[in-house]
Amino acid sequence: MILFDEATLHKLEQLTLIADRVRVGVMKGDRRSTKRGTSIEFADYRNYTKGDDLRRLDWNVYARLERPFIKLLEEEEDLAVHLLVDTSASMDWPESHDPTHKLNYALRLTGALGHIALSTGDQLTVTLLNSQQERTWGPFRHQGNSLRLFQFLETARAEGMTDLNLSLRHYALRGRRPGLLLLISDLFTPNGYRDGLNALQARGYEVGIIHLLSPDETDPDLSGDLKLIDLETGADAEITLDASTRDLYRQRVQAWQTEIASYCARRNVHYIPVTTDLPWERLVMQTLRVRGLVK
Amino acid sequence: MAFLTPVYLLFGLLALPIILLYMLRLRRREVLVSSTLLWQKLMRDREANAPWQKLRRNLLLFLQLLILAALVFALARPFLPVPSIATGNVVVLLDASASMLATDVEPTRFDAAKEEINRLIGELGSNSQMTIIKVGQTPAVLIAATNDKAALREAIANITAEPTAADWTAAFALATGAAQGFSNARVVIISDGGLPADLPPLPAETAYIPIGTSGENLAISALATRNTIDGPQLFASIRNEGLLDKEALLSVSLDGTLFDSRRIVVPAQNTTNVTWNLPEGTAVIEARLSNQTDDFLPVDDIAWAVHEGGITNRALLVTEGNLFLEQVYAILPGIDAFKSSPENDLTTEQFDLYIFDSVSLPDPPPDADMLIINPQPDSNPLFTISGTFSDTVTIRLADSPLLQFVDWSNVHIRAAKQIAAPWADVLVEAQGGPLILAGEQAGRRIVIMTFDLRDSDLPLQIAFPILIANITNWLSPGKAFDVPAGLQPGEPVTIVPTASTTAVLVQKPDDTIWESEAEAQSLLFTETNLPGVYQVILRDNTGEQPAGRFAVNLFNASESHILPADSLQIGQTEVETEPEGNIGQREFWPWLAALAFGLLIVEWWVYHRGTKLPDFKLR
Repeated sequence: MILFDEATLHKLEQLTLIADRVRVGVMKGDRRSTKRGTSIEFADYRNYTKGDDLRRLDWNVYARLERPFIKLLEEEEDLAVHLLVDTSASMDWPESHDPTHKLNYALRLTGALGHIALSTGDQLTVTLLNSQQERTWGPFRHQGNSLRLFQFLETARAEGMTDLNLSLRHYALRGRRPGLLLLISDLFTPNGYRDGLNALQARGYEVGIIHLLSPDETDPDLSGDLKLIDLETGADAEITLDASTRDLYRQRVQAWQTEIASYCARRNVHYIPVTTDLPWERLVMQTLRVRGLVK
Repeated sequence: MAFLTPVYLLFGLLALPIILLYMLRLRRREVLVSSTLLWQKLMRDREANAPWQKLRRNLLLFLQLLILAALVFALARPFLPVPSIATGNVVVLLDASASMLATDVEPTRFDAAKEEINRLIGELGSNSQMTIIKVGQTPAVLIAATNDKAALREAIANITAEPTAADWTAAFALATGAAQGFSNARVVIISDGGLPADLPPLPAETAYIPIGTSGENLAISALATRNTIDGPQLFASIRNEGLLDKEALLSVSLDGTLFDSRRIVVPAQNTTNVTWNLPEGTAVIEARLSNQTDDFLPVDDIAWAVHEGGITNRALLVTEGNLFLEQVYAILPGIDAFKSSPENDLTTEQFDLYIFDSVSLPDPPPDADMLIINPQPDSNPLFTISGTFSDTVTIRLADSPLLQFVDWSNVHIRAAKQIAAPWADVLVEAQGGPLILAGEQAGRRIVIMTFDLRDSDLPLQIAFPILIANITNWLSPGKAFDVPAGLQPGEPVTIVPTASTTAVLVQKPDDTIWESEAEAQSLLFTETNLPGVYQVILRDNTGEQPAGRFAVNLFNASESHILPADSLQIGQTEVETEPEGNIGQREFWPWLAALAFGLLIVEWWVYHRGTKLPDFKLR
């Protein structure tokens, strides 16, 4: 699977991931820190207090006003970017060659966001979430690692179950450097995801959810007397489908997404519902920009 | 409500397998989905929100059971008892006469009558039978004693009324035959009245269903021509049968060209007569009523008359003087008789018929039909005379039309000539030899009477004019047919072809041709059902010769009188219109079958709703 061509990569290199609330950088990076620092970019003045580094006193101002002011400069630092991809069996939908296949879409998206992060000098960690076996790539920096990221992503398979709560809690506890965390998942998880989000936020992560659903999940083309079998859990549901039931289902999907959105809004979590028939370039270049995750 | 075939209700047991099949419902189609998370939520919601949804699957079962019930009930043929006259062995007399063509009931009275019969068929009980007799010019049994409703409906589906009078006497005879042997026979007369007064009583209970509402009708009741000194004259009689005064335009066409139109006013229940002087040479006259108000019977608004002089034959009576013959030929119709003495030259003029009375035949004999009375012993190619005989007691009379109505028993003859003519048949033979001979020789007809009329008492007998008329008619027939002026539709016409005729053709008013080989002495033409002008054509070896025309008209007062009767007088009994309180059976299984079909469609729709029907989305 070739994730990107050259032109797309160049386009992606123009973009930068944005984290509003995460302010803990460990290395000099390309991004402004909330900490006042040692860069050449001017930020503010403040009154001199005893013990301040005299090197940072603005002598020109002192000469004019005869009062000492300390010049505050911007600190530039890097960002820890965490990309979490749900690789449960439910992501293996619909057919793997279908352009709306959720896992492929998720991997492309991960690759794109990862490339953006690497090319802006951020620290990137990519994790494929799965209850059986979680695989992590990183943390790495530098654009040169993009190819290795893509090779890693190409090995990803969707199988088994993913208990998001469990996986996210574990991820939070593993104590890496908190930063911007984007979870790419269909959120079809038996035990929910909220506890996991809480745990991540408690550790100081800025969390975003990219909620992937394929078109036939939002508007199923099914009818008749059916026994629906869950790809992930194997559970079945007997249902007689007709137009009114399908209407009801569509309403349910809407309500579900609205509910997640309002929960996320309350918890300051970015929530981006995506149907996989939306071209991923558009998602990255437009939707994420509009939502303020990318600039 | 009861059932005709209640045993079919056992099919109701089929409900059990249906219910069983529902219990052992088909396995559901298995479909993989990425997750059943939302579906399970959905199912929980539905069960909580809409309890009737749980019944939805059972709605199909309910509908299927309803369909089964409707079908089973239809099979069991339920019926409702309805008051009806169609019970027992029903004999329906359907009036198909001209008056049933009246249009006071849409579309015609006859169609309304057929509708009535259909109603009776519908009410016919399961153990009842129906016979339908169409009462027209020649009554006919359309279908006899059956309970098959489809066959009964089929039998009356395509019949029409005829523009003729109805023969009720014959119809009653048929009805009596059909009703015979049944204890519960019942005769239903569907008519607009107009039955003759002298009908025999029917051996069964009789009911009468009157058809029609109005008696308004203006009719041409007579159209005839006659010769006067001023030329031919046409006489037309217009009868208003209704209760309202009527005005109409009476148009007369002569040989297809409009001759005159008159506005006539005919008071109610009255007759107006009109006459015209016609130009000479008029042949076919058509009179037509138009622009009249309130006229419900169109068939009697048109009439035809034929004014043809007919064929007059010229006869030459060659005699020294015979009062009897001269007087007979003076009054015979269709014959212009001339008298000549034997000395005159007979060849100057050609006649159709020569009568030689006690004179020598010219040599050669005229090439025409001849009546030779008391032939003279001279040489001629026709016969030889070998003497006389006086033993004239008749021993044999031939069975010939020439002797029709001739009473020979009192005829006495003193003496007759012994004549031998090999081409002739002997009509009257006496002990001594033939008295009358007749035959054809060289294309001409010849009759020989071997005795002198003055030597017998034949001229004094009543038989004499009849014999002479018969002989003359045979020798030179007049018209090929003879029809009375008021020939009614359906009445037969006798056509007498000439000796050389090989076939008789009749062109009917609808331009179809009736054809018959001229084998017999006379032909009976019976297909006069259509009013109009008929053309008779005789075909012989030389070609086709028109032999005259005749008109058929519905000049029938009782058919033109279309006011429906409230009751009928049959024998001594008055038949009222009210149906009697018998109980018929009205079946309604077709409705049940239709209901089952409708339910089937609903069931199909319920089952397929959502997949087959368009799915409108509001965005």
